Amino acid sequence: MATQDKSSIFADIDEGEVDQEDENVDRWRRNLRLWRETLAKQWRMLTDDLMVRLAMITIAFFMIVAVFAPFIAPRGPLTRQYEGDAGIIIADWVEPSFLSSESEYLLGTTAEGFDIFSQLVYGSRAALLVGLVAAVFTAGIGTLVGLTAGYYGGKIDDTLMRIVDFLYGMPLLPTVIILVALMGPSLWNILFAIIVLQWRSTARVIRSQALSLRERPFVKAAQVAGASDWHIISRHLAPNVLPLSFLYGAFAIAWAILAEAGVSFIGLGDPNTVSWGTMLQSSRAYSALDFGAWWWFIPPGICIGLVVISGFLIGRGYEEITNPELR
Amino acid sequence: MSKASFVVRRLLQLGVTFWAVGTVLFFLFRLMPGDPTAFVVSAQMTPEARQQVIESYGLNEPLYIQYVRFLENALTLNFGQSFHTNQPVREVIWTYLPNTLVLMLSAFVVAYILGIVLGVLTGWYRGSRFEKTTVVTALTARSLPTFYVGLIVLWLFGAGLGVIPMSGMGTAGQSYDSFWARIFTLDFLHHLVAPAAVLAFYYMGYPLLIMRSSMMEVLSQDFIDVCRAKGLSERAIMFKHAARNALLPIITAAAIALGYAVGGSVLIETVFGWPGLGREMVNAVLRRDFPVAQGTFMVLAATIIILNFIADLLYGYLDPRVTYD
Amino acid sequence: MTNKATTNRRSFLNKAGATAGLVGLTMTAGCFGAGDDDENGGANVEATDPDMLDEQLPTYQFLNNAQSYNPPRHDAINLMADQFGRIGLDMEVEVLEWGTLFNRVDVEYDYDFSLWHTFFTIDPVLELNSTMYSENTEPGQGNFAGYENPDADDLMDQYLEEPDADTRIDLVHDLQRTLMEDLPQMPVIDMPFLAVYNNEQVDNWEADLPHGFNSYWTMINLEMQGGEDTLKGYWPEALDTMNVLGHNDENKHTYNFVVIYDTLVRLDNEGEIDTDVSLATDYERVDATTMEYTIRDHTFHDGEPLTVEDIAFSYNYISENEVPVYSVQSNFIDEAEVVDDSTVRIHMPDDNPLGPFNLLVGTQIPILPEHRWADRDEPSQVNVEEPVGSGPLQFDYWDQGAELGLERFDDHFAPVDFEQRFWRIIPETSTVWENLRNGDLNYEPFGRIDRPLDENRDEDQISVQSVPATSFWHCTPNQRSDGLDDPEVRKAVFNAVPRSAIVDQILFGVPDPGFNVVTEAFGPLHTDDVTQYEEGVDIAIERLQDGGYGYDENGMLHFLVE
Repeated sequence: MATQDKSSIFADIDEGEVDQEDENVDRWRRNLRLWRETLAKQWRMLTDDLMVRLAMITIAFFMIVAVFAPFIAPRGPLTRQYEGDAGIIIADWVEPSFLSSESEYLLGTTAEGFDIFSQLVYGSRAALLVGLVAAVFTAGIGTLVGLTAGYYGGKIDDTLMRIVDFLYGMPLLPTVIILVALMGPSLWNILFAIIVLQWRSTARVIRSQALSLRERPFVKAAQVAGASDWHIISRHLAPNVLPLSFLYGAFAIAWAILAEAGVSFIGLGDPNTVSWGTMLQSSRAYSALDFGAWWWFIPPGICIGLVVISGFLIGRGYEEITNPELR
Repeated sequence: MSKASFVVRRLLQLGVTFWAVGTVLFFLFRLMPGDPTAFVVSAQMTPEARQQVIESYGLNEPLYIQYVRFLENALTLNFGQSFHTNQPVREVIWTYLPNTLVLMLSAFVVAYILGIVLGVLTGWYRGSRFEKTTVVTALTARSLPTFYVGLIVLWLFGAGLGVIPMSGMGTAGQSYDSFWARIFTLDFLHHLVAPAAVLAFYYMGYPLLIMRSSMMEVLSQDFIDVCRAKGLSERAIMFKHAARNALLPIITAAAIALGYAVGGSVLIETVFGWPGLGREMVNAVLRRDFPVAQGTFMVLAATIIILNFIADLLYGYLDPRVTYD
Repeated sequence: MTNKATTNRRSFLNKAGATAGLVGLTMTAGCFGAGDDDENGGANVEATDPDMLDEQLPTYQFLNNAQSYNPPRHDAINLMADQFGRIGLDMEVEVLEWGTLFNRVDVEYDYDFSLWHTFFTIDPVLELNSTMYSENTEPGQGNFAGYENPDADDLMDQYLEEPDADTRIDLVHDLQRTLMEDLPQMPVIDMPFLAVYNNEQVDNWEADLPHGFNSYWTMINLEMQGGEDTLKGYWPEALDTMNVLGHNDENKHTYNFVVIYDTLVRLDNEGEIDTDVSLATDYERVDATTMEYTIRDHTFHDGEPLTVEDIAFSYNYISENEVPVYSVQSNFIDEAEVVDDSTVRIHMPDDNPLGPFNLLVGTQIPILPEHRWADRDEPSQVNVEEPVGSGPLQFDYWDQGAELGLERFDDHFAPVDFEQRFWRIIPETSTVWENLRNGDLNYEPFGRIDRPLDENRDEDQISVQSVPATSFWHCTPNQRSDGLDDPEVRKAVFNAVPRSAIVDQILFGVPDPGFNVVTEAFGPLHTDDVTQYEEGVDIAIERLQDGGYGYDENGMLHFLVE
């Protein structure tokens, strides 16, 4: 990323004094306050931008849909729909209700007789689960590793960075495919595989940030004053790299969702879970577009696009915070 | 540290990375459930024949012996023979890698030319409607899965309008003597357009945004006004300065992105029926053809590792401020 | 009552999901599917007296292929599992990609139900002999059903040794009756051979028994139309090899090798040996273990003459090297011997004479040019770049992963009517149909049954022909599992298989429901006189209740107390 050699505007957030007699509880409180202030400040800057606000609203919208999916979706996503009661007559390829007055399905049904709208609603769960969990872990692991490597340097740094180098050598999609083939096609395994690779870039960027922060006077002062490593990392380094962590976290939402869609599209998606990726795969397997059933193919892609672009926009918002020249 | 010793050290690290990737890969495959011979044998084969197949691939030997052999072979770039087709893996790679590279390179050339031009323009016309639309379009392009856009393009322009071929690298029923004889035909170009355009659309966002911020940085500096005062052409100024600043990040970003694009090529190759390395790798994984899967994966990994390395070197070469540490 | 139970469970899930909030979102991820609550539906039936109920039948795993691998079969398995749930079985569908799936069923026997599709059964007993023989029940040996019946073994042994065709017919009829009574395997759908082609460019499609419309017989009988000189086909996945001894009998390879390489004798569309179009102009059974063939003058694609030495070489070479793909045939070859310039004898092992030798071996072993193969010592692992055979089509080019081109061999005794034939690799069914309609392709060798076929079959330029095939979808319960070892349970399960729904709704009415493990395509070998099983969940439930099983209040099936 182009931001790694830019300085943060939060470089000197610390008050510059270290109270030796602080009790642990007190330290925690101060830490918390500091973090809260930092976050609040960033939040204000972030939400200043209209695009970022829209992105956040989009994500929030999908979150609500995901949480309340059972109430919004009229049917189970993998509950086969039948016509009438006599015999087995699958209600497949039903047109959406806005095109055909006889249809009771908002977006029609699939070739197997599943309700597309319900699948779309439940699909938001898989997407957000993948996106948010990947974001938390990508940012979390990456920040932790980056700070540790950058602050301690030496052998620890070397070892950690060799691991990161190794991960950098792994192509994302092929690696996820191999791991999924190995562990079985479940959403958790896909998620795990994505996380295993994703934290590498966060770690690298945070490390270089930590390397430069380590040399700053306020850190040196704290060291001279005898502050513990943990104190310095949590209090002096972490708040300064936080915007970067969030930036990579936001981007991770986007990449993870795209990766999940890609893996599902190849046919290694979780067969017991409906995600937008598996919807696309299945609509392609049945050539939905050829039969003009665009209502099966188009909506999941748009949903993916919306969540992913929201991730990008929030990430870009953070990029502008960390790199004020962009503003 | 001197430049030379920096390069040597990086090369050593490179070697270690390759070894690690190869080793992890080797063991991942051996842990995989599913019998690698399941696809090689037919249902009617006798159990003895099946056993013979397993032995002929050395799969009955202890793991460490297989591993040592794998390392020995890898050193000589010999990834063995396909379980499936008995073809040397090296040949498989030579067959498919050029197809992937030619697709990715053409897409990248278009993406970066387009991205840079649009980046300059959006930077210059900052705040205009043009800028906003372009940036949003670029971000949207980046947010939609390539396979999704690809399928829509095929549907609209292939099945609908009939102006692009539905799949493959050439019209059916024609054969060419060599890869080079093929790629300079109009027919090949016709087949290349759609997948390359979809990829270019996807990848242009990055150079566009870099170029745009570089433009904005330059524009905010005072000397632009000075230049303007001197009566220099505006376009000449903006381009020269902004381009100079943005060149480094763009080149390095391109090198790194190209590596990952090759790794992710499976999606677009699947949609457009492009006989490329990514698709071949996925097929090999699915049918447990370990030698081919390992070989093709190593090539994808090597592309990334080497391009990253080149990006590093370029960084040092183009930006004298970088110290080799 | 069942419906109520399901509703309750779902509304519980709904509430759980709704109140859990964001944390709950991750916690309930495991049951995102929400579809499984229907699969465990249970039967809609009055509960048996609880005191009589013993344990519930175990949960059964129905292994399914990924949707992308074969959409209709994936769908059919889900539908079947639904229906099995309705007779009170606790079903779980597990989706696996192909390598793992094959291994679980065919090698490890770690499954409860499977739905398989068998190809290329040239002879019904040869296939059944590996999958139903009592001695093959060890892992990897072939009898994945775990079926053991000495009577059936006897019938199969006798059949394979019997040289008299009429006696063989009686034996195989008995075998069918036995198998359809014991029901180790349920014939779900008889998959037909389909000829799907553009009739403006090519016509006169005749199928043969093992290879359908991709057979040698089909190819030499095709008549090109409207000046078209190329047969244009496709395959959804890339071909793997040009080594006729190094493939795994997947149809994509077999369909090409049967026209590149000649075999001693060839079948016509009636399943009879036709020496007019075979390399052997005459054949004779000298004694129980010896066949003698008279060979016509012919050359290989490279211009070298094809001699009796080449034929003896091919037979000896394949059996001596234990070529895996011909391992079954090798068992029946002891030695091939040149008699004179135009005569060759094949000896079978004394202890393993084969009745239908021509059918099972003569039509199968490819004739190889000795001058190309003599020096190759691991035939199945040779990397062949340009195969040289003597068949009606010769190798032209192979653009790996993209296209295979064959051209007419002008010196063949049964020439084809087209100049060249190519197979393009096209995974997308929509692309295939686009091309078939506009004539960029003119036939569909893969035989996919899907909605595009259904929508296009009435187009003027498209013709669809269907003949019964030897292949069928069979559902196999694993008799190693508790409950499935009882024939009554298997029969009830077969009653519950929604065969007509699968045919009509998933397969667009193209195939027929199955009712016998030896399909109609085998002509006189097939018989209608086997136990028939009516479709219906109610019939199944009744059968189970009569057969010593009972239901609990959730409609789940239990064993009864002794």
